[in-house]
Amino acid sequence: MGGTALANGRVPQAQAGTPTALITVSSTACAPGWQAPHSGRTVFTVDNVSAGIIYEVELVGANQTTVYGEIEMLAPGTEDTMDVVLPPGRYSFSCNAFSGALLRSQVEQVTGPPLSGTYSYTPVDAHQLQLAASTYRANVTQWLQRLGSATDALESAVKSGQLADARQLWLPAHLDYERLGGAYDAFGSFDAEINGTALSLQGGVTSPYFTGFFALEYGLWGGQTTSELSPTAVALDQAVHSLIAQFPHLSMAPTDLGLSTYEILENTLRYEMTGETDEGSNTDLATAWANVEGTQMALTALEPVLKQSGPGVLPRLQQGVAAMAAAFKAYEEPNSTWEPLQSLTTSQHESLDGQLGSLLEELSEVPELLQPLQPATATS
Amino acid sequence: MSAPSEETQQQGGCPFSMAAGGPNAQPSTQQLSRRRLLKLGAVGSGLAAATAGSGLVQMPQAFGSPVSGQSGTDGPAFADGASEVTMQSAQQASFEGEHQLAVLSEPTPYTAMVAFDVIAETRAELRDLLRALTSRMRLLYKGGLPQNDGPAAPADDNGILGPSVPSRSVAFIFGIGASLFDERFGLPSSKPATLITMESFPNDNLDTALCQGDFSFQICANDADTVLHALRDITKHTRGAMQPRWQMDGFKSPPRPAGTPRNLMGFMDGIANPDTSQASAMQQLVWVPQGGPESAWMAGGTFQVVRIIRMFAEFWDRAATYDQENIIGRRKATGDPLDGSNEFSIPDYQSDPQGLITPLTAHIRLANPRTTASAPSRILRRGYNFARGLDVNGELDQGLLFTCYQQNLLNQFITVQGRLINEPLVDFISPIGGGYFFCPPGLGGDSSAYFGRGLL
Repeated sequence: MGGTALANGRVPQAQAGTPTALITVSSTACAPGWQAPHSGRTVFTVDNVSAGIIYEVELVGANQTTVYGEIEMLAPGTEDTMDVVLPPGRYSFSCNAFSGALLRSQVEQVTGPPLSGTYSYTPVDAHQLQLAASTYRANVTQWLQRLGSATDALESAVKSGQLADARQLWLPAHLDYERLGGAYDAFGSFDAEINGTALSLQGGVTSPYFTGFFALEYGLWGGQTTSELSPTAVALDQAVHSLIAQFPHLSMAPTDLGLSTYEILENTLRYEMTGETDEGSNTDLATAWANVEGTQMALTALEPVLKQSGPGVLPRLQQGVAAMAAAFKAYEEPNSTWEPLQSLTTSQHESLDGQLGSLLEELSEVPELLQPLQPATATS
Repeated sequence: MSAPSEETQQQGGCPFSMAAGGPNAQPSTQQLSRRRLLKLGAVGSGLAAATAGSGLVQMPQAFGSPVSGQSGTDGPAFADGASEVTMQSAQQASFEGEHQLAVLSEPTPYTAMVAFDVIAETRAELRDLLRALTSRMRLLYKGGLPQNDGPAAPADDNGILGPSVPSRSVAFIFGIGASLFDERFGLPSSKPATLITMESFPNDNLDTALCQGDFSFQICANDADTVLHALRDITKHTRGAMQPRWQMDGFKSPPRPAGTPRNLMGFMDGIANPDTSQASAMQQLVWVPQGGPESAWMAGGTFQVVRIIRMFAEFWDRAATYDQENIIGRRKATGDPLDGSNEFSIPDYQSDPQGLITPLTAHIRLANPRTTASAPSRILRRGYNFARGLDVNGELDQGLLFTCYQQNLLNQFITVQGRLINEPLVDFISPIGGGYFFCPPGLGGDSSAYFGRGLL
């Protein structure tokens, strides 16, 4: 966050009278001669006067780890603001050159009345973040096996001309895939092949590039015969098995997992809660439920990390995700069917949309809580 | 293209077969059929209305005589404190100039971009439509007292702006889409060589109900009512000859707190535009030249791109500012490029080949890499914000009504857009409509000329 303190909605409104201070970072000194403000809010302007050094600038607490304000990238010859809220205590600036050199300022004492609330975060241990990513990978690997069995069964139903069975088997297979949203980035082009929608294709559902689950859904509920659909079902199953074979070699950046914890449900709100992606099975609410499960999966893997960096936040997120899953699950009906999105009453729709939006506001804090002390490298 | 109504067919009346109703027009049936005609009202001296004759374009002899003593001049006439549309310079602020007046003008606070399809059926009718359109644009620009059609007729003017139309308070940009050049008017051979139909780019999500059109018609003004006044006037007076296809309203934010206005992502947008006061830059980038791939009549015109770009505002607001800045390539608060000390600093990408300062995928870096090779692909952007209510799930439907001008679509906008495919910004936006249009040159000082005359 470009120099703003971490505390959604808890930072007091900027006042015209908010104290400001100018500090500099040069090739040899980090915030030389800086003077501690009184406790409360201060806006620092940080000027990089070095010749050619790119810095990350942080204002850290006495332990030199807890971050109260940061500018992730400050190019030479530029300035940026750092808006901080400081309780009484001892602070210093650290200026980390992108080349690796680290400069620290002198430590200064902030005095004044104590503050309520938290306006800082503690960067996480990169190794811990990698462990979380490994946990998640192992989980995805298991679910991929289940997905492979589900698309085997779906393919076989289509090939043997069992339309009713194929419709029954389509949903669980699709949900197995929708649960893996945290890994889509790692899946690369497999994702478009397996789960691409018609939305951005020239020609929409008639495009030759319309493949995978949604193409099969379009055919199964749109009057195509099982023999017409056979190539689509075969291609889907093949793509899934290729993915299963390739997955151990696909890399995932550990920080992607943090982004996934909220971006999965951003897509749910945009595509499922508008009904844009449905191709006839009326299972948007089921997909939404599977997406929440996928979010839960990512959050669970991150639990050990978040317990440290956001102990106050974690239980709230876990409760929110569980409640959201239950809210969607309430629309499940017997025989692999779900209440269609369009038959929701206005108040039911509003309630789901609002709950989802509010959960997203909370989940969007997660990436910030997962900033590593040292850059983490990709796992595979 | 819709079929003529039964009523029209019964009367054997194509929309242009009769003169515009003047003071001599009869009430009743005459009055009814009049509604289907191009309403070529003249602004002028009260009852001295248009004479029939050829009946179509009636140029008034004197404009807006009652308007605050500034009658009949092109000077900055302003009645009742009406605000003048910002023009480049007094010299350019002539309706009959070499180029369409509003292309180089600074964006106004309000706009409507409306696409029309021509439903006139013959080449002659198309010519009449172009004349009527030009005539109405001229009258709306000049302002003054509306035409008096006599006590039996509905008023010529909708009255939204009061009894007299403020002078020089509205500006237009008129464009012609590729779809006009089909067999209807025998125009295939006149089609501009480089005008194509906008196709879907990767990551677009185009709604056909918001795409293309035979004409684009943009109305710009300082007030929303002035825009709507002009739109209602134009549709009324071209009824039966063209039909609105889609509309997107836009607004321009004031500087916050200074400098280039911000878009609804909170970033200053349009900072690096080519300088419209440099005629040579405009000749190189914006205006169609003589002797290029296009016919001689098109010289002085320009190609317009319209892109209606939905922004996922809630999602964007949940992204960290630092991430937003890396996606765009500028500081959000100040508009500074990430390596610069002020909004207008020129980014030095050559000194940052790895993208440590400005990511290689930053929007501004991809759009304009600032190399010798990329210089000719620069475009003149004229973006407006839009907010049109809610999505079905209660999400805010907001975005950017992007327009840009260039002398060659393929070498400029399409090349730029090609560099932007799969940029990180695509997660937060969705292009949903628009089209490509050719904006014909200006009237060249000829007060009887009409836009698009070189076509017919």
